Amino acid sequence: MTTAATVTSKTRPDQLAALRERVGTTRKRALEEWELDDARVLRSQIRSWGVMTGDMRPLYVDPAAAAESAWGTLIAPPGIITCYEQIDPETESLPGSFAVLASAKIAWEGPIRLGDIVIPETTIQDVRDVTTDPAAGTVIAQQIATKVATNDGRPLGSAVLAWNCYERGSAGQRALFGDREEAHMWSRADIEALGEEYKKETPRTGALYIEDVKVGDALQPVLKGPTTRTKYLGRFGSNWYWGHLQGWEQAESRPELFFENENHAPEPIPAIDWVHHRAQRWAGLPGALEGNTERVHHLSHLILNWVGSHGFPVSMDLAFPIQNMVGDVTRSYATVTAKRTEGSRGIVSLDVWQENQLGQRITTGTAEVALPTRAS
Amino acid sequence: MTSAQAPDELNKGYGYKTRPGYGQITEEAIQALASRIGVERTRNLADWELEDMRFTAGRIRRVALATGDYNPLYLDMAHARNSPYGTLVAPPWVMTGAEVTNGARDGMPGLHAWFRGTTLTWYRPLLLGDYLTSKGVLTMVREVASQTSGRAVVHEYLNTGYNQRGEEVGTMTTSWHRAERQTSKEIAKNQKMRGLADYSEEDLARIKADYRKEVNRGDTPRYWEDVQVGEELPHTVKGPTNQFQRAIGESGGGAGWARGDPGDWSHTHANAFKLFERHPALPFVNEWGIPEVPVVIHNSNERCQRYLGLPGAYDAGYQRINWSVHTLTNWAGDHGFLHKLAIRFPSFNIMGDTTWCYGRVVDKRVEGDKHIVDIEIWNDNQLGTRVTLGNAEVILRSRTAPDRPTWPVA
Repeated sequence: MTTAATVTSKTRPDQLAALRERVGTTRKRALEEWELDDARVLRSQIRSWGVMTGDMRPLYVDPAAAAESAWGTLIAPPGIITCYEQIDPETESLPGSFAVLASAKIAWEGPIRLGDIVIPETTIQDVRDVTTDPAAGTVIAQQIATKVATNDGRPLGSAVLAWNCYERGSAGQRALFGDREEAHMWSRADIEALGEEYKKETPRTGALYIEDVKVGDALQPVLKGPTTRTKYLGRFGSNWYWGHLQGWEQAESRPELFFENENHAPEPIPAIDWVHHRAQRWAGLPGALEGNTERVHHLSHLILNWVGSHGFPVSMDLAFPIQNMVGDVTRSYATVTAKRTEGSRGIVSLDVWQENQLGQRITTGTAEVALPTRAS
Repeated sequence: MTSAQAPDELNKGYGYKTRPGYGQITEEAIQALASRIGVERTRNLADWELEDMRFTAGRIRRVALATGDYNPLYLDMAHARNSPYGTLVAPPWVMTGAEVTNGARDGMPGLHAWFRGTTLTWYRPLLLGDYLTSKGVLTMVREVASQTSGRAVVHEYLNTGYNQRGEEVGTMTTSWHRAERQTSKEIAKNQKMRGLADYSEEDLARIKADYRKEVNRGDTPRYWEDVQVGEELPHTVKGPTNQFQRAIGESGGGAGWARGDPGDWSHTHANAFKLFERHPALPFVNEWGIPEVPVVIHNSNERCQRYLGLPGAYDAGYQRINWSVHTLTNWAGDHGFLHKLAIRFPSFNIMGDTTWCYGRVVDKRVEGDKHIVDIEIWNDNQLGTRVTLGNAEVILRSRTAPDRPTWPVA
């Protein structure tokens, strides 16, 4: 357990060796019949995902509208596929480290639909030491792949997430903030302007056909934020920490996952990362960073706004070179770079990117989207 | 933070105009609330929304672990199959989910709300796969003397829970204290302020040792005849709480889903802007100029100190219900049935506190074929402050009819 004023962690050689030993390890939980209900995608769950990602489109919340879509029923937000990872790179693989999602490769076979029983299978594909400056602390990259399918074997897609794990308290962790010294301060005029910008969002209600797409088309940008973190806490579950007796047992068996908080009592280290004042006090950082998995949701929002009720993303290949701080906004953009027809469907290639309010390009990448043809 | 907004600026609200009387106790506001006395309220759940109310194995597990109750009735199917329940059972405190209307959000918008106490009654358990639905009524509204020159109001509710067969599984009454926020601040200023918990190594060692003393009766029946008036229940200990634990504990382990409707605080991005346009006086402006729902102030000690002038983040009280139930069910074992729990919250828990939950048998009696034990319960924090008071009724098996189940209760 870290007791210093600034919480630190070091990646030990034995930890790294143990992690490397796990490359190729796969985790897939076998569920008994009475447990399957917990893997079933519920309408309330789909709605909740929409609420938490700020995307309440009828495909997620309105059964009547969803019935008129290509899917014939409610579907889950595409970005949810990133949430099925069964191995936690931070708390499990390198406990105590600070993990940042550096890139993501996602492929969808189709949407996750209401009532699907979703069974994920996660594999650690690669572990590499990507340290560039030893004086700035060790950085370990983990590539973790998750295949997602229904319990009867229908593939839904896959997410290959590349996590960079930084040593806490290191210069490398501080460098994630670039030259930023504090969180962004918003004026009332700024906030009111953002409110007006939100009102301009115009999601397509019908279908977009491949024939109507032109190379060079620009998608209408989608705004998200300014983010806050604490409003999420009420929906917080946990895979490893529940407090009380179990918390004490964890603190004894895995002390590297805990720091000594303001009560001089053990608390899980990730609680430092949620809000600015804690990140400042316990990590000596300018504030708290956002988690990058939400960027996939935001890009999905952008794409579904454009394709309407009959298109769906096929793939995304994304890099997240710059981190957003909690309190930033994210604007998602895309332009059409190519289009083709594959059988009865059209495929559109997009350049996608995201920017924050500072104009920093925080995400770069490409995506492919499947659209109907007029003939189909 | 280096250039966060000044406190005066933070408290001005989001710049929207608020209605006259907002955040104040007026005769009109009291009468408006009182006009709803006796009006039945339900959640009007659609079939799909019932999914939220169903107790799956995962949901039972999450609510149990979030409370720190490792009773195998909740977690171990093999154990539960051989118990009187025959399957996994939901912890009794899930009856708090029958609360249709939370007093903090009913009438007199903008007032501060405190949960004064509750009485829970159970008639039958909720088993794996069961649903919990409910209806509720406002039963009382009255103005009460305040600790300061400000005004205060108490209002109370009766909620009744049902399973999917329409059987009444229990009730929950709640009592709420409402006061103007300025009054609340005066109370905060005037009360003897305490600091955050500050544990020495010896303190932590004692807490750890007390955790090891926890005893779960399990499948050994406790018979009514063997209970002595005056005997003390083995205590349970909870905490020290922290931001991580409270996020889990107060959300039932994240067991519920965000609905994104006005009764839910989970609004993000465009939905948050829409919410604040509909309810302009709702948000506070956070340290970085961003409007946020006020409940998040209670997520951290730092924000409660900054915005409310309080020593730290006080709890909502609900976790103390769970913790007291844990103490009682540990003692009653698999064959006993917790029938009633009345609980009051004379003092706050502050984030970082540790809570010891105690109980003592004060009476035993027979009513019909039910063998009942009356228990007084109380919770103390690390300062010795009594933060919870209450009493409970537990139905035990009798040696005169050892196979007679302790539930359902008519």
